[in-house]
Amino acid sequence: MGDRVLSEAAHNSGGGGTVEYIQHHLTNLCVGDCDPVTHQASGFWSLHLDTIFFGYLIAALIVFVGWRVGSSLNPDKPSGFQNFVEMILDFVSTQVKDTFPGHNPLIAPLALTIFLWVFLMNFMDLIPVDLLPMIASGLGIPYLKVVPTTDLNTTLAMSLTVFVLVVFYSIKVKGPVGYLKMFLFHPFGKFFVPVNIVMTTIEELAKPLSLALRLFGNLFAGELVFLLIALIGGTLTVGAAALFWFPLQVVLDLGWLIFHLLVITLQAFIFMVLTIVYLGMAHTEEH
Amino acid sequence: MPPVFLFGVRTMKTPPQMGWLLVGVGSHLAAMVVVGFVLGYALDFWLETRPLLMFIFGCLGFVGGILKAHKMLSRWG
Repeated sequence: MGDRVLSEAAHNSGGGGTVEYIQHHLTNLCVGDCDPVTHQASGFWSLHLDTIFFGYLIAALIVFVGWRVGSSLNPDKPSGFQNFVEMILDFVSTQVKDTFPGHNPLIAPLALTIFLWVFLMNFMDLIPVDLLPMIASGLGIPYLKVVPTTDLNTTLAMSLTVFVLVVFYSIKVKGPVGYLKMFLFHPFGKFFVPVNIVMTTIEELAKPLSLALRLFGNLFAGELVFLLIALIGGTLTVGAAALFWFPLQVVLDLGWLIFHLLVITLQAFIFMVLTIVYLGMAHTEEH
Repeated sequence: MPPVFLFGVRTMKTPPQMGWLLVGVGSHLAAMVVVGFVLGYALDFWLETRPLLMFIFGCLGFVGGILKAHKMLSRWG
């Protein structure tokens, strides 16, 4: 409700050009139970079409490139791209070997999928912020948020999938009784069972939440900084002043882009490594 | 350390390189406080005891978060 009032105030103020610009770029293309004024999700059955589209598009790209590389493998004379793919595979495989305590054939493919998918979704942040929304508005699409990881639904869905796997393997390895014991007697022993249940439940639920919020927060903030830099040479200045502000915008944008290249890689890597670590903890007998 | 086979999945007694968990100490602490409050809020809503459980669970989340952070940092720090 508060959001709607704020948004309406911004719409009615007349001078909210910059506010409107940022709000427009941070609004998803929502269908279903959506608020007609703010275009935000207002019920369970609301879908963010842009997030779904770009997420699936990137997934399809990974599958297609993987299939092309897989069908043209040459062990005697590997191409440059084959070497590059092998380098990524080797990197992920080393991480899994170093971090994962046991052996499970699911972990390495899962880690590779997470790393590539999250990295490429994050990489969409480096496309100029106005380019794709402008093309989309030309095609009659009013809102377009191109980075799927700046939508909490994406990151939470991924981390909840990891959470389900963690619970599954915890029960599989420790057994239902062993898993239940972890809730009953950890961390304060057998005399504080009610407190232990609450605390361990909170601790377990905090894992997927922190995983999701870290990725979402970093990418959302990064997107916001790109939007603010875009405003320097755009809406904020008109006429001759743009001659001064435009070079500043170019320098700042380039600087943030180079820095953000590190951030997107690091966030994809952290998401992958923590997935391996959490699944590794599920495979160990002690908590 | 010899591996142990359990339900067809190989396990070990202690995790070898869990140091990467330190990357998430801060966000895990914050997430535990948030989850505590949300869980308490949901139970309050159900049992109509607002704000009792929200406060208790929030405090437990904070205490648990500090304990967890201390445990991780003292093990690998």
